[in-house]
Amino acid sequence: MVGFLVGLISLVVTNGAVATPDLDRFDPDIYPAIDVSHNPPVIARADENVRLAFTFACGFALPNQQRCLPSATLFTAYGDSQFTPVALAEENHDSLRVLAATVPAADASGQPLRYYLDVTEATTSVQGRHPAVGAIEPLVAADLTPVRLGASTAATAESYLHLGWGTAPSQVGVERHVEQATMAPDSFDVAPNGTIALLDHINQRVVVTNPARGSFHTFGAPLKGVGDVAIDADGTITVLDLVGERTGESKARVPQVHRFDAQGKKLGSATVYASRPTGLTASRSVNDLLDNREVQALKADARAATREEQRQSRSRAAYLVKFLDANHARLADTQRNLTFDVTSSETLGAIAYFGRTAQGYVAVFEDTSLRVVWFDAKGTVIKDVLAPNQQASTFNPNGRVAVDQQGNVYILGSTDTGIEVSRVAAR
Amino acid sequence: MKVRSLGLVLGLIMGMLTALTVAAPTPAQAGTSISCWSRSQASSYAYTGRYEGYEWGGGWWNDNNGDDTPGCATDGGSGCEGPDCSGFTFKSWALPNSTGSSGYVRWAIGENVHGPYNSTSYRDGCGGACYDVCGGGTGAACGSASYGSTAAMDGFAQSGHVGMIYSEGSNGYDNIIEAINNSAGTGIWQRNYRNQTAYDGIRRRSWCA
Repeated sequence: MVGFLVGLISLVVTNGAVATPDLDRFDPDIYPAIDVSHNPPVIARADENVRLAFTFACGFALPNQQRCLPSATLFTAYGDSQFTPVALAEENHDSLRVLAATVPAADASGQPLRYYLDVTEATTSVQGRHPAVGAIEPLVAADLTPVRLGASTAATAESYLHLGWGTAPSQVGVERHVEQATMAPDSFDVAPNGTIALLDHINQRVVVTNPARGSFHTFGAPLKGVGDVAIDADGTITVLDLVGERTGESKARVPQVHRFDAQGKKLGSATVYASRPTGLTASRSVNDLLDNREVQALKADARAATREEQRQSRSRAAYLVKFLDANHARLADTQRNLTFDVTSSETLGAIAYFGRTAQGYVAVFEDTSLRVVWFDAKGTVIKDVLAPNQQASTFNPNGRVAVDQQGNVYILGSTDTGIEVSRVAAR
Repeated sequence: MKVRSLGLVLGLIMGMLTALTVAAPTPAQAGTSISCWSRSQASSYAYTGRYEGYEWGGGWWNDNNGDDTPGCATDGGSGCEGPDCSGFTFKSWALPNSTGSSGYVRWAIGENVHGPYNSTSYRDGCGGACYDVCGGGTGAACGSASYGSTAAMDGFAQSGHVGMIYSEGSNGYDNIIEAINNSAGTGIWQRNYRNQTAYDGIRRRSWCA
């Protein structure tokens, strides 16, 4: 394939014409030929300007064509208005080429921003669009409810579950080799009744256990690697395999999502058409960090959605998060139209979890510790504690935090002897 | 017309010859000395490794989106496709194959070269070719306050693993491009290396555009 590409480039050289490289190995939804990195604003106040910055990686440019200098046009619209082009300025950040523009988050009448980017690499005529379908639509709010955090206190965490390393039915797998990242379970979920579903991808199985009831069973799952797991009230389990498989339709390895009943019988599987899948959402769709939308790969009856159905299914996630800096974050409950502006004199960090509880909301922030904050819909802080951040495997930072119906927070960590799930009580 | 036809034939012959040499690894060579290597170039280069395999001690891949040698039980063989984490960083950073040199060498992706550094060497400064960008030294996490100090294609290294920042996620975690292991291969993953005390933030010396 690469040889053929070189052949084509040779044709260009010998004939003095421009040829489009072979793009067979790319996929607009999963592995675009020009990959655009962009950190979207996600949540903005209507009177703000937002900076939209884009960088590029050209997968097709090697081995002969070392430079990749795409031009791009940003198209913006407000509300239902027509998209219009906006000029992008080129910046050089210590040799990182950035194209950027600053635009209002809302127009004069408060209509929210929507945008997409058209990209062209002129020498090869390779083109792309970011996102591949639709537009990026930040959540724009007139006002954000402030959540002001003071000093946090050390959490009293109780040990909820411990499983040792190994291959026996009561153990979970770990891989530790020289010059390789440690692999161990790093995603789990808690059902309303306290039952835990833990993804043990090393041993290719799902562990289902309720320590309070003394139940424990496992079932095999066709996992190629790390991923995410979710358990519903009826025991239905959804598994996201982030490594995935090569399919006939796409040359790239594509993430897969599988659904099982409470006994471990497989109900269905689907290919996930997303470029930056990060985990399962509350509705058992797949969160795509590319544009902070969720993609429904498996339908309610566990049938696979087609690529086009998945494209059409992309919708704003129920909960949105935006890291602004180590002390400042924004959170939104899109179903209740509530947005929060969280600031703290102490470090907050990356956002490992945000969701609604019986008391209001809980957010978990990660720096060198995990900070767990419960607050109500008015932004009043109920509890603010620091929990240990102990973890050997780090593939899914969001997958190792789960919350039960009472708002108790469960944190998955790992030690030299095995995995440890600790519980931090809401009250 | 004859010149164009000749060019067409030559181009196709060159393509066929190159296909033969890139599908399998080429022996370790000197690479091509170049005058400059930017973060943007490094990003494009590393992106070709996405979906490829992993081999401990390995250094080549062919950008066909899969591990062509998944059955390679013994790592390090030149017939096994995929870089390891340190070899992937070495080639993506276009480092010369001599400890401490921060010049620029373009390595063909199919060239089986790993470079002189293991993950611990990256953490400890690549003999001078890279440095601790967060400044805390070994045992201090960069932490969430370090986003302003790091940029795409800087890395995080500990004794045992190294990966490079591909982009920052909107939730505050980094999208890391890295060669993981035989089961996961090479790809882009959401990671929290920035918050782990075992990892140091590292930067190639002398990026240039």
